[in-house]
Amino acid sequence: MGLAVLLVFSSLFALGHGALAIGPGPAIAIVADKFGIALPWWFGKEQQAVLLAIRAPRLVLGLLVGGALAICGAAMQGLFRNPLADPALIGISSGAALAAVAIIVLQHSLFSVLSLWLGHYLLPLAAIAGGFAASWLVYRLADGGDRLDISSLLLAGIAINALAGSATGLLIYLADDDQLRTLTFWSMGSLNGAGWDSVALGAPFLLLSLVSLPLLADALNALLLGEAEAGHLGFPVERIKTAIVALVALGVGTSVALTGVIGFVGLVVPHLLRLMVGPDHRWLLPGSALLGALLLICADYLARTLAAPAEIPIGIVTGILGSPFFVWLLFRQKIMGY
Amino acid sequence: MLTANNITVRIGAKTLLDGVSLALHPGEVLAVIGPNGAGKSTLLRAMSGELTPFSGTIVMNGRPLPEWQPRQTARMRGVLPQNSALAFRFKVLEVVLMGRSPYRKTHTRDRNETIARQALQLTDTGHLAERIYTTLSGGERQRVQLARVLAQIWEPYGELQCYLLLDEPTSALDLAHQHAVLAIARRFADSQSAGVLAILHDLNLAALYADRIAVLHQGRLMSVGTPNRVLISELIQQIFDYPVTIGRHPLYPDCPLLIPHIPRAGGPESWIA
Repeated sequence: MGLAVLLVFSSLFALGHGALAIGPGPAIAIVADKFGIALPWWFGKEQQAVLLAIRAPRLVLGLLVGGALAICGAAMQGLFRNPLADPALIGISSGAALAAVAIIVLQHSLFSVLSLWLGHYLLPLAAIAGGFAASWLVYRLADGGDRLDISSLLLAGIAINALAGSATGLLIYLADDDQLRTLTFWSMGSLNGAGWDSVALGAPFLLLSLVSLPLLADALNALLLGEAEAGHLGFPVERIKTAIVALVALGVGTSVALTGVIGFVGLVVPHLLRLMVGPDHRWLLPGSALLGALLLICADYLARTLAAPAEIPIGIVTGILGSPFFVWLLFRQKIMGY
Repeated sequence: MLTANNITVRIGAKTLLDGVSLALHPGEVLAVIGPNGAGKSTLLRAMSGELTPFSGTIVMNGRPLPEWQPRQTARMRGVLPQNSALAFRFKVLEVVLMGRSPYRKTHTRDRNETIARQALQLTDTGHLAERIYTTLSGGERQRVQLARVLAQIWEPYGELQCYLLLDEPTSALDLAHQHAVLAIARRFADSQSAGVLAILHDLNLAALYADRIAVLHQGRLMSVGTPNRVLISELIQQIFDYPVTIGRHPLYPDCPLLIPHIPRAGGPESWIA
């Protein structure tokens, strides 16, 4: 509850602040005006334009992506019974980024037919497919017959990440200057340039994973006991595992497609939540979505104001904030369990 | 009845179970004994449906196991694993409530919680309900897991018989709790007329609590029957490759008592009598 309230306030704050000052009051007034309600705050045409065309879609995308990254992180950690299983560590992000980069660089040579067919949908669809393929590969590599081995999972993740990384590097080597600028965006992540079109593109996928994953909360709790135990409790374990991997690939793949690789949200947020509400996925999953959304718009606020009018890629902000936390987790986990 | 009909389990070229047939009757405690690697856990995993046999069938309450819905199966049989992977900081009560997850839609929250607390009481872990599971000792965890499994099949599922499959339920327990756990299993079999199958290493525990004992050796069922029929020194010495004497329990003359010898160099002739 507190999280939801905090989220609303931060959203208003993020709408109201930036290179062009608007203020929370006028921000509410502009949004209300859009729906035909007049509020006693004055705002200018320029402010209205900035808010509706730039800041609002950016905010919505930030909320969706932040929520999706965090909830996917929580689901991954549950699936692998390991709080260090970030979607990035098991290859989803790098697979998605590789696919996206491949589309950007090779769009006009190799994928011209596809690009004609699918238009704007090609890039996010490719990113989703890339994320899916990479995570499936990692999963298969780590699957030792009847049980999934966590350490070989992480090793397989490292291997696939390295492979995707060098393939991405090769594509960057082949890219021209224009493409290079676009590519930089993928490697560091940014909400810059988000418009309503990208929100419309990503929202169905992101919402699907945001809404569906909490439905699997009971199953994820049971999976923490072990896969066999979850099966004994009557959960169709194999189908649930597939569903989770698919929804996570969908959420993370779409996020990477729209905003590039934004690290650590999926790792750090569920952990903070576990400290607050415990490991029960019925609270953890929706809570992670809220806190992830909150943290991402705060990080985006920092990204666009710290060096204004220039922008720091948001992946750098989350990385700087996330890495020390990750180290702290490693130490804490040794002593207390998750 | 829960029956294994001529089941063979193979992993790669290795045969873990070779044509084993065994029936678990309602109301009985059936102990499965045998040396390490005899296939005891494999048998339990096959009978629980966790593992599909290479050949042969498992039949539960008149239907082959795969023909039951997973959720129906969950209401008929609980499985206590040898050890549990749970490493997240759940409260003990939450862990036991996971055993009630097949009933989340059919029972009220209060009812499920009442049953979970009763199961905790039964396994002498009621005082741990609010503790964090990961901070418990190995023995406490094992009892909490037993409570979870008992909560899962706490009430009869219509007219259908329930089954409890326990993989070394006493391995982490002290003397008093070993007996407490088997007494619970015994009472569960008597009062609910549930079938209880328990893998045990302590043959005297098996003799005291089991109606029948099944002996596995190298994937084959060597013998099955009452403790008096199965616990005979020739069979036990041959199976475990260790000399024993079978006596009588001084308090319960019907009950065999296994007395192991001390190994000495120089072969069986020099064993101390």
